[in-house]
Parts: sequence; C-alpha cells; structure tokens
Amino acid sequence: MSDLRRRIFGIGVNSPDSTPASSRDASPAPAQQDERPANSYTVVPAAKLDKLSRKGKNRATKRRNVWIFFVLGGLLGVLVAGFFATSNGGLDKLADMAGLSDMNLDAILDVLPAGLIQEVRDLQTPEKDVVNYDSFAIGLQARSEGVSARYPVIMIPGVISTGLESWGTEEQSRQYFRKRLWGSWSMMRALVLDKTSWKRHIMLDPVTGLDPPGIKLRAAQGFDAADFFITGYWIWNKILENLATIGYDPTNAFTAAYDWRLSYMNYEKRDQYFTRLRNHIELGKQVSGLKVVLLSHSMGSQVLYYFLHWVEAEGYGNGGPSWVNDHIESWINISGCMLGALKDVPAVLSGEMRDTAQLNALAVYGLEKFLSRQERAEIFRRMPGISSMLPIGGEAVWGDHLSAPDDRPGQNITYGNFLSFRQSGNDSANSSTPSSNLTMGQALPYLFAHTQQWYRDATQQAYSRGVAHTRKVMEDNQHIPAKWINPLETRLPLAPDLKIYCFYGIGKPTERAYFYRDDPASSSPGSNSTAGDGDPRVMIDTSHSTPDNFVDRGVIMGEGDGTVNLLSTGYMCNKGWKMKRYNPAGIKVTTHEMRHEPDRFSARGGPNTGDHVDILGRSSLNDLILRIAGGQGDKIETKVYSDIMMYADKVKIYDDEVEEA
Amino acid sequence: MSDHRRRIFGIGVNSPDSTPASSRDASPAAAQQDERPANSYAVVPAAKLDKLSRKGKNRATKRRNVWIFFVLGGLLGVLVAGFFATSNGGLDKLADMAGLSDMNLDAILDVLPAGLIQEVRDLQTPEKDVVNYDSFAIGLQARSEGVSARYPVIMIPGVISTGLESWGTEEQSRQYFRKRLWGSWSMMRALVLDKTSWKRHIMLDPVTGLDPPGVKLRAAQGFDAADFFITGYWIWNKILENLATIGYDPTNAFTAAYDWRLSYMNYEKRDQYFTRLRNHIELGKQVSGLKVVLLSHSMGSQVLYYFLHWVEAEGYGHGGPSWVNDHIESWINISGCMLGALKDVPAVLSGEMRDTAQLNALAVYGLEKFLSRQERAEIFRRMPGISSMLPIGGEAVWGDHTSAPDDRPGQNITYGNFLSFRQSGNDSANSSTPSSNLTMGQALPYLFAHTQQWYRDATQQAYSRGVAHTGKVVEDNQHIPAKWINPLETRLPLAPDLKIFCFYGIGKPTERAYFYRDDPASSSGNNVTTGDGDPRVMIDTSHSTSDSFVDRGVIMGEGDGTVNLLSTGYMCNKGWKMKRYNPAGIKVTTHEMRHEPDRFSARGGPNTGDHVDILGRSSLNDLILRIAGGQGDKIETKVYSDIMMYADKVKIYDDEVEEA
Repeated sequence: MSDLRRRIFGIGVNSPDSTPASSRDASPAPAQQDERPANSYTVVPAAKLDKLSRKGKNRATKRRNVWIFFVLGGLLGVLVAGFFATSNGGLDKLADMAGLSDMNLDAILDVLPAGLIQEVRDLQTPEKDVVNYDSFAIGLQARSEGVSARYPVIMIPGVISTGLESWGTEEQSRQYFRKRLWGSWSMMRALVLDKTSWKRHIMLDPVTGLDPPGIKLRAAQGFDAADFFITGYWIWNKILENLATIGYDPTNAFTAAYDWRLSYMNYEKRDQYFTRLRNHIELGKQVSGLKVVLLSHSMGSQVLYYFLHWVEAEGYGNGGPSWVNDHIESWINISGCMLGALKDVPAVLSGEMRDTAQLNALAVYGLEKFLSRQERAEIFRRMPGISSMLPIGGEAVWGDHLSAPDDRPGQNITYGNFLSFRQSGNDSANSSTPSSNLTMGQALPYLFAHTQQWYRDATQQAYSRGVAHTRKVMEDNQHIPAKWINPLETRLPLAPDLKIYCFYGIGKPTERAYFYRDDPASSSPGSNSTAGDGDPRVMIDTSHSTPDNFVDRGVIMGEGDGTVNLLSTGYMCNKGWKMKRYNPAGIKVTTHEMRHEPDRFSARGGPNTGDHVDILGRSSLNDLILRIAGGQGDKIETKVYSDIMMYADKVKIYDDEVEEA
Repeated sequence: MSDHRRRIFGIGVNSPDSTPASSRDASPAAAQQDERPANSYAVVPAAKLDKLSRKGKNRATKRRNVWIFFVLGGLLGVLVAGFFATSNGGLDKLADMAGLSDMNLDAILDVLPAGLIQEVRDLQTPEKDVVNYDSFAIGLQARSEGVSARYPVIMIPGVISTGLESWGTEEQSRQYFRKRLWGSWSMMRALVLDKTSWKRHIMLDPVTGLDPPGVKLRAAQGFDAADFFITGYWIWNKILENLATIGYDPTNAFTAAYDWRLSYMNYEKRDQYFTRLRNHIELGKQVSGLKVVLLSHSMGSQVLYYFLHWVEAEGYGHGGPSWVNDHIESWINISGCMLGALKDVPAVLSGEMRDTAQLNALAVYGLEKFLSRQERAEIFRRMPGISSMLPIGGEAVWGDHTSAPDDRPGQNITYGNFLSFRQSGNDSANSSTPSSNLTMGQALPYLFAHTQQWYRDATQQAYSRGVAHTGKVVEDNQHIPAKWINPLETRLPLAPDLKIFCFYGIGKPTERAYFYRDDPASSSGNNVTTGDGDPRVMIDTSHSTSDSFVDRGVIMGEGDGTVNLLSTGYMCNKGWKMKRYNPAGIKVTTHEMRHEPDRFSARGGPNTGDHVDILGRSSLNDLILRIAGGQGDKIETKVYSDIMMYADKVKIYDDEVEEA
C-alpha cells in the first residue's frame, strides 16, 4: 500500500504541467518551464508545445523516472512534514494527501494499470465514510444551537505552515515571481529541479538575518497563507469553514501571516508585522465595537506572547499599560509551545529529529543523498525563527542528571539526561562528544559551542531562555525584548478582563531525549572537505535501541502531542500562570486537554485526534473556538486528564513567597 | 484559425479535473465534483476515482461534446470579456488566452490530432517573439535609471476584473466555499454546469441591494484579487511585476479590492471598504513616513473619487478638510471613466452592447440560447455597482438633437441622438419605441421608464448624474453622498499638494450611439415570462449604412475601445482646470496614449491603448514607476486627441462665464 502511494506521489511530482501545483501558486500565470527565462503569459509559448509533443513520445522514459522522482519527492515530504506536521508514517501520509486526493487523477490513469487503480480505490473506500464528519458540520451544529459570529477573529498560524512567496526580480528569481517557495507544489518543483537555487532563496543571510542580497521572500497574505500547506493538506481550512458557517467572512476574520524564518524583532523591522497586527486589532474593534478574539497555533502562541509585550512597551508598540485589556477579548492558545519544542535541539544541532532517525535504512540513504544532515542543519540554523523554539526553562523545567519532572515511575533512565552519549567516540582525539551526558542546562551551551559564531550570536541575542525567580527581576524584564518570548522571565499583561484558553492534545508519544554519537563523516579526516567550523560533528545514535523500546533508534519518547512536549504546552497554562508573579492581574486561564484518539482509517486522525497540527481539524476544538468567538467562552470548563499537575509541582519554580522563604 | 482556438478553448472547459482552473480557486482543496455535496479534503474521494475511470472510457463521447462546450464556453467569454475586456474579436482573444497559454496542454495533446497542433504552433510562433517585451523589462530599465520604490502604493481595480469568492455555507453554496464565482475557472464551470445556481449567487437582492438570503459573495483579498482575471488573462500582473522590480512588495504595495456589484454606499455599510481603505492609507503613511500614491483603473477611479469625498465628510470618514492633502501624494487615474461609460446604457436597457450586437449570426443564436438578452439585462441590473457608470452630464456633455461636442466634420448623423429609432415599431399599439430619437437627457428617463421600480429607485437614489453650474451648488453638493461620484456636481478636495495624473488610451473605436427597435420576442406575446420592466427593445442589428458609420445598429466614436474620450478626457483636460471643480488648483497632468496595437500580439503588445490592455503598456508602466519612485514632477502633459476642441463645445463653463 505504501508503495502504491509512493508511486502515485512520485508521478504527481513528475508531471508539473498538469499537476494541481498551480493551485498553490500565488499567481496563475501559466507554468513557466524552469529552464527558460520568465516569459510572457499572453501567447502560446511555441517552445512549450514543441516540448510537450516530445514529451508524449517520451512516456516510456518518464515511467522509468518515476522511481527517481518518488525518492526525491518522498524524501522532501519527510523534511517538510517531519518537523511539525509530525510523526508516525509522515511519508505515507503526505503521499496520501498529495498524490491521491488531488485533482490530477486523469494523468495517473494514463500511466497506471487499471488493476492498480481498482486496488487503490478498494483500499480507500472505508476512509471516505469516516472522514465525512468534518466539512461545515461543527459550524452547522453550533449555529443550530444559536452560536453566531460576535467578536472579530484574528488567526496567527504556526511555524512552517505559512506559505512564503518570492518577490525577487533578479534573473534567478524571476521564474518564481509571486510563487510560493514554501508551502506549495512550486516549492516541491523548485527543490527537485534546482535544489541549490531553492536553498539560496529559502535560507537567510547569516550576518543580517534577513534575505540574502538579490533575494526576496515574503509571507503569503490573507487566508490563503495558511489554509492549506499544499493541495489537500489542510491546516486552518476546517476552522475557516466552521467560522464561516456561523457568519465569519473577510470583514470579521483575518489571518495574520508572518515570515516565520526571521527572528521576532525582525518581523517588525522588516515587515512591520506587529504594527500591522496591532492596526488590524484596532480596526477590528473600531468597526465592530467589540474586542478581538485571537487564535494562535504552535509557535504562533510564542509570537503572540511576544506581541502582547511589544504592543504595550514604551519605545515599541507604545500602546500603554491597558492596551491589551482594552483590545483583546480572549486568546485561544492552540498547541502553544510556550516553553519551546525539544525536537528543535537535534534539528539545529545535526539536522535530525525523530522523524529522520526512525526512517528505514533505504529512506535514510535517499534522504542523506538528496539533502544531507549538514544541509538540513544549515537550513534550520539559517532560519532564526526556528530557534525561537529552543527549550525554555533549563534544568528547572526539563530535569537534571537525577530526575526530570515528567519521569514516570519505574523509568530507569531519567529524561533529565537530554543528550546522552555512549562512550564510543571518546578515545578519538578529535571527538566532539563530551565526557558525560548533558542536561538541558548543559545541552544548549553544548549546542552553541558546536555551531557557528553567527548562529550563536543571533540566537543568544534574540531570545532569552532562563527563569526569573523573583517579581522584581520579572518587572525589569518587561522592558527587555529578548525576554518577551519567555513566559518564565516575563509576566502576562495587566489585563484582568482578558481570557486565555489553552487547548492542546495529550497522549501521543513525543520525543523527549536523545542518544548522540560522533558523526563518522565529519571525524574521518579529509573525507568531508566542505565541513567548516560549526558544521555538525555529531549525529543521533540510531544504532542504539533498548529491548524494551524505551530507547528506539537513539530517541527516547515522552508525553505530548507528537511534536511538542506536555511540559511545554501545559506548564504555563496549569501552573505558571496560576502564580502571582507570572500573572499578577489574575487573568483567567482555562485549560482544555484533548486526548489523542485517532481514527485508524483517517489519514489525518479524524475528529478526535490530538496531534499537534491535525488537532486544528478536531471536532471538539472547532466547537470550542466557535463558542468563544460567539461570546459563550465563559461556559467552557477546565478539563485536565494528564498528569501535568503532578509534573508541574516537581518543576523547580515557585511563587515568590515560597522562593523567598 | 479562430476555429482551432475555439475548439481548444472548449476542451479547456470540458476537462475541469485537469484544467488550470484550480489555479484561480481561492482554496486549493481537492476539486469537488459539482454534483456531489462538499466533501472532506483529507482522503481520496473514492467516488471520484470511480468517475474518472468511467471518464477514461467516455473519451469518444467527450469529443462529440466539445462543440457544445465550445459554444457555451465561448459565449460566456463574450459576456465576460465583452463588457470591459473589450472588443474586436473578444471571443477569439479570450479563447486564445485561456486555451492556449495555460499549463494544460497535455490534455489537449491527447485529444487533438498532431497535425492540428503543428498548425497551431506555426501560427503562434511569430507572436512569441513579439511579446517577450514585457516581463519585468520596464522595471529593470527604470531601476537601471535609478528609480526605486519610494511612496507606498495602493491599487484600486476596476469593475468586473476583481474576483468574488463565495463565503456562504448553505447547502447550495458549500461546494463553492472560498472558490471564485467571479474571475476564475470555477466561475466558468459553475456557469456551464449549473447556470441557475450561478445566477442566484452572483445577482444581488433587488430590494436590499445586498446578497440574497443564504448567499454570501465577498471580494477576493490581496494581490490575487485582480492580478489575473482567469489563468493567463492578466489585469494588474504586469504592473505588479514592474513595481516589484523597483522594490515593492507586500509591505509597501496593496490591492484594495472591492465587491463592485454593490452600490458605493454599500461598500462601506457591508464591508467597511472605505474605512479599511482609509486605514490602509494611514498605516502606509505611518510606516513609511511618506504620503501614499493611489492607482485606480476604470470604475476604480469613480470609486476613488467617491472615497475622496467620503473620507473628509462629517458623519462619514470624519477625516476633516485636510485629510487628502495630508495623506495622498498622487492619484494615478488610468482609463478612468469619470463621466461614465456609454455602453452601460444598452447593457442595462437590453442586455446588449457592441460586443454582442456585432457577433455573427451563429454566435448570436448560441448566446441567446445560453444566456438571453433578458437574463443578461437582469444580471446587469441586479448589480447596482454597474449602474454607477451610467453616463454623467446629460446633453451638456453628450450632445442634443442638433449636435454633440465630439461630432466630426462631415458627419451626417449627430452623436447627440444617443438612442435612435427607425419608425418600424410605431404603428403597433404596444410598441415600446418612442416617436423620436433620444438624446442622453431623454435616454436615461427612457431607461428608467422601461426598467423595474426597484432598479429605478436604487439607481436614482445612489447616484446623481447632473451638472452643477455654480460654485455655490457645488459646495452644497459636497455633503450629499449621491453626488460624490459626479465630478460635475462636486469638486476635488482642497488638497493643493495632491498631484493627479490622467493616463488613458485614444484612437480605438468606441461605441457612441445606438439604433434600437422593438424586441419581437416581447411584443409578440409568445414570451410569457416577460414581466414588468423586462427589456422590450433591442439593438437594431439589421441597420447598417453603406459607409459603415452605422454598423449593425451601433455608431462608433472616439475612445479606448470601451470608454469614450469625453469620459476619460473631459475632466482631466477641461473640467478640473475650472476653479469651480478644482478650487485648490490641484495639478492635473494628462498623458494620452495612442492605440498602436501589435497585430501579432493577442493583448495588443507594448503600445496598446485598449481600456484594459493598457495596464500592460510599456509607457504606462514606466510612468507609474516614475511617479511611485518620486519623479512624477518630470512628467509632462501630452495630448494628441481633439479632446480640447470637444471640451470647448461642452456646455459647461466656469462661474464667471456662466454668471455672465
């Protein structure tokens, strides 16, 4: 089955002229052949007709190429889906989405034998019935219960899911003009056909942290920016459908997309993102006479937390101390990684994460050939926005050599050893592995010691990841932009009327710690001549597994939503913001945990998934959002099913009275 | 040749599953079959696979259907392209755009014999070389001369070219959710597959002038709203390319799209369009520290003129008397129909215009079968925004029975007889033709007398089309919203620092007057659905003169192919030179652009003066870049037409003269 999907996926990529690729292209100019310079759109490119005639004759050759394209396309799928779209069988899932549910089945019919089609159809039939649950259904149900649009709604999407369009007009960029180099089939095509050019476009300049000279990528605008990642792979679309059903439209709903590659302060410097967001909120209030409901997902929650500080700060938003209270009705925090995401560390350290480590050997081989660990690490490092999600709170939150707050009884290795090393490499003179395992407090310094100077400087200057233990330090921090992403070093705004809702999934295994070893490629002298200072010299020790599967190919799993750990989604909502120091105005925080109960037959997990991204299509989440937007948020009660309170109590952060005692 | 184009076009429409249709769809959900209710996007729609398998076997049937689809598709093309995309061979052109230049040639190869392909290719080759002129070239040239992005730029598109998305969530609308029912292949598909439903979505409620209950259409947002009408048929895209080349991007450029179907006041009431536009301008200024350059095209210029009044008016925008001066650097008025468009009258009166009147008999037959005159008139009437372009200025501007300002020497029929009638119908008791020809002053009352009560009320209440002859009346009018579209009844804002640039095409024949006759279908009583106000007259396509001055009932005059020269040129060259209409002495620079189309280029090439295609004209793009880059003061007035001669004959004079 998975092979069928892969083949089909490969074909999708292989026929750019008729794929639905164009449906995510920003501009519907006829697809330009990448090897030709940008052309006029107005007449028939005769050369193309010519090419197409030849193509027809080459169908046999094409078929042989299918497998090559499968490998390239599929591996890209892992990279993209892997980081945040997550998890079990990401490759198969993405192929499923992309290859089968799009509009291009005509072309496939020409290539695949009829028997195969029949087979696929038979396999797919059960899925269809199950998945009909979702289009507009929640909205219709809510409307029938009298819920209708009330507050203006603004959505702040997460990392990676927002499309990025090319606006550059240099020779090399013209073919991509106003097409998406992130989040579309254009991206796939560009990556497969001209990887070097794609990388040059997508990576930021190390020194400035902005686009390299001659390149210009900007976040897509409007609802299209984050409704789908690529054709068929929805992100916000289900929420949009349901919001529309109770009366939302472009006049009272808005997607505030941003270029998530930048460090937060550059959002404002380059794109005036926070100024525009503030303006949108104020306009929403002016037009409706009501405060605004904000929805944020994943890293969007960190961005919004930053904004809440920026907007009131003297010299920045200049909104004054009551701006948030005056303009924001509710903040709906969905899967918000308030204390970061642990998988960010291996991603930046060695271009790896569970999704790459646990691939089978063949796929690893293909992935490394196409986009090596070194390249992946470089891409991640040259997107400073990614590093905003490095874990916050150090050993106090993530544990020490002895124990971690979320250790389970009977666990014989503590999660506190975030990066562990078997001793293999230490006898070698140029080994990069340390002599002992590393806690979170040690792992980040280790990361900075093994990355380039520019990365170290940019990341450390932009974001602070410590803990403030007294109220006085907190108040001082309110004026330091680098602290504004850190809810353990700054407080919530003084907005007693604001309501915060935390909705996140639980019960899906999430990577929690790693085994690392020397990277043989970098330590064997001279074999990798391009390895410069800061290039990854270590890699996940995929050869290490324990018989009880506690360690699986070098990765130790813990609790969470499959991408973000429970401590990150749950700690602030359930404990941190109950402390006077972090929430002096006593803003009401309501947590509603959502158990991961995926539908086995549904590729995206169905109506009860708790997955980090797929939760955006979850029935109960949509229902809660509609009720809050419709003005009935006060009826929502806290529901906590996980052991987060038990873990939170073990976190070594206490309210002032206790700390001072 | 034109047959080839049509066949190919038909096929494009006929294979929705693989057309580039989706590229204009707002949301890239997997294409839903229109006959099925909205489905989940997440998994394979098994039913579709099934359908597709069947489709494969049906290819032979499909081929027979091609001609049917050609007729339907082609005729729709006329309707759409006809009104504003204009003119000579609109059908062929649109087919050309749509069928040939898109990405879907694979599918065509499967259907067409190789010889045909070869033939098409040979025919097309010369075009390719010619048209390479345009992508980024103007921008690169300007950049090399040191022009770079300076002022924030906001674009206000014209009528029809802005896409409209469905946001309704009732059963009937769900299949269209966030897809475009105007300005995309979804529209074509919806129109062909379910015309009734499409009409129900697209027409507004006669009484409220808003969406009918259960239906919700909203203007598309962002640059995508007006960059292309459908795949390959660019509108603003060339300007965007060139702006980007000198440094514009989403942070300093913006497309302010609106739902052009509404009457102007409803733009604000329903969508807060003017509030949002004001907010965008203010934000642009706040972020850049510089005033904003506004670009408007066609009806967008009327909308912007309305906005300039709304924004300062007490009780509306509340901007105060210096808001425009404080926030707007320049207004670039492209092909602006400041005094309306004459073709609006036959469109609303009988669902016709030159583009439909001068089709060949077969095409007329097909068009009437698919979308009749009655239906077309109803659609146009139930879009109150369309009627904002009914001609302004009456006989003073458009002439009387004896002469018109733009009559040419030796012309034996005056343009002043805007609607003429040959006497054929007058012996019949229930004839709707009047006993004499009608000037513009008589034609609009005639129109209102032959349309429904709701249309009359809505149009007359929303827009005023007269002339104010004294400065005092003009000042009083500044407070009456219905006058805000009319530059002959209101004045420009008191913004001495504002610069106005008028760019418009000249030298392309433009419909100027019509011959009408009774519609036999309505008078013979065999059309039982004819209600009160349904069209009872039609363009007299049987009337042509041997010198072609009257061609199938239409008399041509000067203009850009869509809008008449008097409408594009009068205010820019004469009206706004009068103290009454421009008391602050705002500098108005006119740059006329001769229509010199490239014969081999479907859209007219780098020197076209066509109403819409001018947006791709080299010199227009160049001028826009210079103004946006802060060098607008170097632009000089260039007038090649006889507009000054015509303007002097218009019976509107400055106060001193009028009072004398």
